[in-house]
Amino acid sequence: MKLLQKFNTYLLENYPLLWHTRAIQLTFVGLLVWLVSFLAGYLSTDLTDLRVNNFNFLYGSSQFVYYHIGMVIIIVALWAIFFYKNNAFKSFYPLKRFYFHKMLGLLFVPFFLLVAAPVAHNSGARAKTMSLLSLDQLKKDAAVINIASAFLLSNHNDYKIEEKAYPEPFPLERTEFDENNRDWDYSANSLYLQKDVPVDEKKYTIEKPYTRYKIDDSNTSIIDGRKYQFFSTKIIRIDSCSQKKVIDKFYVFDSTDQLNLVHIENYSKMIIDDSEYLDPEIIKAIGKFKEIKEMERARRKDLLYSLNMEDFMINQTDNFPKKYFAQAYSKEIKRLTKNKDGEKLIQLLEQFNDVLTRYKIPGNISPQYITAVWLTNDFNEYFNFVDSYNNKTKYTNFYPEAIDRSVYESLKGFDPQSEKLHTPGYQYYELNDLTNVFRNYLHAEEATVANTEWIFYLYFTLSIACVFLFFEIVKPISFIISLPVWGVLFILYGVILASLSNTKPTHALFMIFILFLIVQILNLWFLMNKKVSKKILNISYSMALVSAPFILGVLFSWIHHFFVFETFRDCGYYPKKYHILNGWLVEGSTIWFTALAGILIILLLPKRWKSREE
Amino acid sequence: MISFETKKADVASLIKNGDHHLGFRKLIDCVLDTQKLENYRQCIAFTDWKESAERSSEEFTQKSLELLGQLEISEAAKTSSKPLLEAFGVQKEFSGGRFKLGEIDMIIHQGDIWGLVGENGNGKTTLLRLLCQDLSYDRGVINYGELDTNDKYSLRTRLTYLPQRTPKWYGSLKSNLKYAASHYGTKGEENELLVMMYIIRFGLWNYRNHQWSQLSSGYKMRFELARTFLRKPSILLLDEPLANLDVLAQQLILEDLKNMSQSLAHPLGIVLSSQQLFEVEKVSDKLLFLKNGAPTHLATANEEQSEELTVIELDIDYQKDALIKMLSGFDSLQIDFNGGMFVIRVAENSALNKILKLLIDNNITIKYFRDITHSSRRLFV
Repeated sequence: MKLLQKFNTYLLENYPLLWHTRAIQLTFVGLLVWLVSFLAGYLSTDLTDLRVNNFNFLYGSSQFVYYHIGMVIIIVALWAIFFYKNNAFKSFYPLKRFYFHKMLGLLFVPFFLLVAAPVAHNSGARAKTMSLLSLDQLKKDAAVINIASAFLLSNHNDYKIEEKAYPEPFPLERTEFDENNRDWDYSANSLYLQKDVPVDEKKYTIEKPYTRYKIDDSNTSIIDGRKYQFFSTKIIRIDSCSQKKVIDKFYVFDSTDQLNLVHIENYSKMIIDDSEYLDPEIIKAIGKFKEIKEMERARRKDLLYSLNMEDFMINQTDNFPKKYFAQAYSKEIKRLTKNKDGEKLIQLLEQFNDVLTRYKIPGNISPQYITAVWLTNDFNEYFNFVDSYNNKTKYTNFYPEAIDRSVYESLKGFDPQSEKLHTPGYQYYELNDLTNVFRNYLHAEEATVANTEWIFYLYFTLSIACVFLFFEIVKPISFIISLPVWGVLFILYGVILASLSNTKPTHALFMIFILFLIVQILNLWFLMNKKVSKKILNISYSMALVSAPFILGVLFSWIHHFFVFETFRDCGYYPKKYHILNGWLVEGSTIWFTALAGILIILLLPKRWKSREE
Repeated sequence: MISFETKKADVASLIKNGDHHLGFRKLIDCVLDTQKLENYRQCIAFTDWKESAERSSEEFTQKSLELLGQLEISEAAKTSSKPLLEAFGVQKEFSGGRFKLGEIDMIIHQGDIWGLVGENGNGKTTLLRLLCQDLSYDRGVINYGELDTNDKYSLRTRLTYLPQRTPKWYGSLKSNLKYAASHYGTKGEENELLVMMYIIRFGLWNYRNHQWSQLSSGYKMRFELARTFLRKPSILLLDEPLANLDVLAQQLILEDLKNMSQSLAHPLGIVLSSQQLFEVEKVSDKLLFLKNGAPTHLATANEEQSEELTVIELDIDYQKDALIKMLSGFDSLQIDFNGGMFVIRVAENSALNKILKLLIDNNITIKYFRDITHSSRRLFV
């Protein structure tokens, strides 16, 4: 304590600005907050946490945000008490050149540390997650879970027996056509095939690959020696100006030339989306870009296998796992079901139980029971259901019951008197817990602090620093009086804007720019003209300070919008904007720098303003 | 300017004659004049010794004379004959013609104390704000001697204006003083020592760790003066510094101002406004009376005076008619009764003694008798 007092006195005697801003102490506190945040993230993350919660390791995703906000408010409030105790500027003490610029810098650094503390928290949580889970083990476990899950209870739709049949899928990795391609023959519905995803895109037209509802020779085709009959394509919108049609149903002629209707959506939901560990393009994206955006871009390249319209409406990236699932596990699942390989199935389910134990997933799976049910392959029409809970959220799962109850009796330990012990109702595991573990690992691996997040921290820090600096310079009363003046100006602005027949964003931006410019010019004029009352100058100065950070940004945005041309692409439904000048003019970082520049310029004026006579 | 040796002799005389309070304050002024950190250190140690327990008069005398004997000045006084401030024909008119001040002519030199007197609302504060560049003036010229007037902010840091109502400050008294000193270039150890010296000088030793809310009005004013002196001002503009102070505190502060304006280390000019006419005119070198914004230069006690009327303030239990009858022999006799006092004006220089004799001869009990012929008080009664 004495040492701290001594240090304080030293600063007071030698560096009054440092003493006044408490920048060194606050920076130290900021570093401490980072350390605490990292430790909090590291120590608070355990297997239970990973099981129950779904992190994405970004700010706002964890409850830490509340602690963080509370912590920052307390620290800043305490600091502000010290900060506003002394004011050299208002006391007319001599100030060195660029006094307020230095003050802004001194406030910015510690505030940034305080504001960006979630980065440290998430780093801690990520580090712990990566230490708790191993990628190699997860890969192996994912295979077990994905195959086993085909035989376990899930939701009603996923469990439909006929959808577990896994007919041989259309033997192409993709089936699509590009409507925008000039060679497209609408009458013929020609197809583009991509042999492999997505690095080497090979497009070629297969023989007669179009569909009609009527089965005839004209819409069948031979692919890899097999005969296919196509029909019923669906439209999928990938982005605003790209449409593709994907075949979701087709007939396969079997060896006796009988048609088998194939729905590509026949594949069951994949429990663990382990596709992302294996896809080289995605791994490359993780390694190279370390950004989720890139991850999604990479995934999106390969999303065209899924065929449920709703999937695309909700989240396009969800489709890729289905395709992967079909490719990776369908053969094994089919083999187990077709061959009725009970022994293998029991082994698989025992492995599954091991996985549950390792990740501490609540569950009660009897391999013998499940296997017996599957081998019977004869179910009641109704479903049993069981409620499970994940972090107090209730989930209802369904499970079929075999008609022939003798299959249960043959099971070891089956007690007809306490049948419920072996009823399907007790064959459950916490599906969401299991998926959370895997998902959290993936998120931990992927998550980095995105540019947008850094920009957010920069903006927020600059805002806080400016607010404190602002009230260091002007009296609150001047600021309060300036508010209704702003109100009147904006009403006038609105009236003028409303009177324009064709209101475009360019007009609005231009007028805001003009409004801010007028405020600045008037302020300068008031500053020079002694006949203008100091009270009016104080109000105009408040207004100038408030608008200074925005004026250059608005100007840039206006220039940017001024040079925008709106055109329509061939596909026609959505307009596509083209900019002559680069988009950097309105990027977050550019606007931030313009705000900073505006502040730095306006901070040249306080001394002149303060010393102007009334 | 008074020489350092004269100052020392004065201090020695005061201390030897048992006038310890005044002697101690003047001793601090001498220490400050030396501008030597070692002297500051010794003086602070001496004060600490003095304040830490009840000390005998002999002990105090011996120790203070020891300290005084060690004091030597190395630099000659930084005196300058150039005016610190010159104002010629300065006028200020507020919009709507509701008030007009001026024309004001003033020349302030180092060591000068200007007293501004006048009733409320007659332009004293306005004039001070004009002089410190807080208000713009319509006509006239104000020159600030050697101060750089190009950078207005910098100029205002040198023109220290102390308003009547000083704003609240936060934190301890000492840290506020250190903060001010630090901004004015007093760094490191010198900062601590100089701040402590002014704390001692203005009698704030026992209050140095107090907050604003723990101080009385008098000590708040002392703090403001200490802070102002740490700013090393060349011109000090004080608006009603004596308001809210008791009579003793008023005299002390005026005395301190008078002494400190004569500082050999940092001589300065002082302009102070007040309604305590008697006290102000006692310390002022120049007196400016403002009536509805119009200035009248008055002679002070230090200046040669020639007045046509003798003016007496008198409090007696007597009827006005009887008094007029008793004094009817004087020329141009004018007697006013303002409710509490008689104010007698007669056109005779030697009337004072005659009136006093008449009162005694008539066996009239005199409660109060004051010759205000040369005092600005005559303008107010």
